[in-house]
Amino acid sequence: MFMIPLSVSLCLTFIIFVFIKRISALPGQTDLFRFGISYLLLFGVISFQLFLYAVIGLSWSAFSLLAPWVVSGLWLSIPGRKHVTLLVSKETVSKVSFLLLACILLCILFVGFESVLRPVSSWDSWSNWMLKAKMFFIDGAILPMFSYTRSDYPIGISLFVAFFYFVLGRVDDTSVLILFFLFYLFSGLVIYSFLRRVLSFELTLCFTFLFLSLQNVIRHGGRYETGMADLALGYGILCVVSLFYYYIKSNDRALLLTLEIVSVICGFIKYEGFVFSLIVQFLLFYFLLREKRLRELFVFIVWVIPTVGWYLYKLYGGVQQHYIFSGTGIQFSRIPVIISSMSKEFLNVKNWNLLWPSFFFAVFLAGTKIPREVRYVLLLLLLQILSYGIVFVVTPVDFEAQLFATIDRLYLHLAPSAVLITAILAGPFLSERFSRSASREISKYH
Amino acid sequence: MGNVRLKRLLASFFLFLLSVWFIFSCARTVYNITKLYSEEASWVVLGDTDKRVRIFGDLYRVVSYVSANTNQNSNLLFLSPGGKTYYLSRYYLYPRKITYVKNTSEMRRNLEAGMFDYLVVFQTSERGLNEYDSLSWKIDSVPDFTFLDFDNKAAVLKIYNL
Repeated sequence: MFMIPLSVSLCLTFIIFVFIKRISALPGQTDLFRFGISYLLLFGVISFQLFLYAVIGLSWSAFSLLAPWVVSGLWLSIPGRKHVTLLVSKETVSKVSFLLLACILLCILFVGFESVLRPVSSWDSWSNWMLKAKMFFIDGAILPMFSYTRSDYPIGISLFVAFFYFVLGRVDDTSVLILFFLFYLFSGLVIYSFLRRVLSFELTLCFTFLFLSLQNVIRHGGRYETGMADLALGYGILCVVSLFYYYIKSNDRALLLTLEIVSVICGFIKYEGFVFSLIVQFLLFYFLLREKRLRELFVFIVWVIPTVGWYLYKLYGGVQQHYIFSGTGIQFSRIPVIISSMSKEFLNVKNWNLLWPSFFFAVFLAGTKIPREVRYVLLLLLLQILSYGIVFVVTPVDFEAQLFATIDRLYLHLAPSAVLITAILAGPFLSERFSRSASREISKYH
Repeated sequence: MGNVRLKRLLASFFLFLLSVWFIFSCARTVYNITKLYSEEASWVVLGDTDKRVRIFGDLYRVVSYVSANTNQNSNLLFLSPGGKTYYLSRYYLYPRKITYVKNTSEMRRNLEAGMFDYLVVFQTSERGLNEYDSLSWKIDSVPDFTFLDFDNKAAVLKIYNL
């Protein structure tokens, strides 16, 4: 049964890809990168579609939900229009790259197989994301969920899953886990397509493999932790970071709109995504003011309208505020424990291999030579980590238990972007090293 | 001169870090693949229900039993030994609406309100589930009930038609 959500989601992702290529939403980017981001856009469009239907009173059914997609697909495939294909650059496959490709393929097949082997088993998934998806499917509405669960959490993931329950015609919490595997796959695709522009084919494959083989990423992509929203948010943050990087680097106004849309989507995945999108707004605001690009400030409306709309809808649903805000205030005494636990997790080889030491070392090594666009991205990630620290300082529940239970998931939000930054900063150094050793090899034979 | 040497040293250390990371990744990939034989082969042959029982243990049997013996769209008052039982029941039993109580006095208060179709009581000695010492509950004074029993080695489930 997983073939249905798999094939439908890939077809719809392709429709999104064709659309963004037609309207040139991501100018100057490769097709692979466009396709890599399309799955996140699909997630956003589907969540928005269900939300919009609920607000205007249109009923949810396989027909009503799929019809606009079929019409869009037909419209985009009308003969005579500009022909759109997914262009993939041809690479010369050496022995090393062949081996790396094989490793990547093994990881993908393993995680894909694992993702549909078991029904949903992670606590957060069945107590929150999948429960709400099931409720949306059974009730055909959003509002009953507010009164029953009393949860004000973002509902993007649950709406996305519910869409596929309607496509399947039943609640099948095993088949839909393939959608979470796709977050894994598409994260790898974005990392590959981004890095291929700055690194050699072998190094790009190497870093893509290093990411896809991270144990915590594998667990959320297909093993026991699949069905949670953390890898989806990691993928969302990766897309924002990539677009932010390109926007700062190229100053291309056309990228700004897509960046804002992707940033909004992050806010509908998890609360942490909302905080992240807020940080993006602040940094973007600072950048635009600094560059005196005041005309582009209008773009914030893309973020404000859906965000405010969702908060008004929650008010209308009579939902209570998030428990984090019901605390007694700031507990400074917790700070040493928080810093120590957060630092320890960076060294947790079981979850992260050597990602975090490599990341920090790459930043340290690059030092003052870090390009401006990477500095912005690093600030973005640093503020996000800081926001996690602040949550533990103010949380009204047992903060040590919460820290222990969530810290690996919080770092998962940043892990894909950390791999990307490590590769960008290490790239010139590695290329220089390898070209030097390659030239030494060549000189041996002459 | 010293600065250049230090830089070279740091660069070599960085290369070492990346190499170790790469070796770990290869080793883990091989280890993961071996899991397909050592761990996952046994999952492939299981049916859907067996998989759920294997993941959630007897708790899944309890939930299935409640599901089979209560009407959909009913309101259940659930005297539950802990959070996991409640949250898993809430997921699997939907559209039945569950109100979660943690002790018998809370249960009696809710029963007086009289808005429930069933009272479900689950008592277990399983350590991971028994946050509220459920085996100490005495539930003799529930009026007008018929009950269905679900017994296994360490758990009792009673469903009262109210």
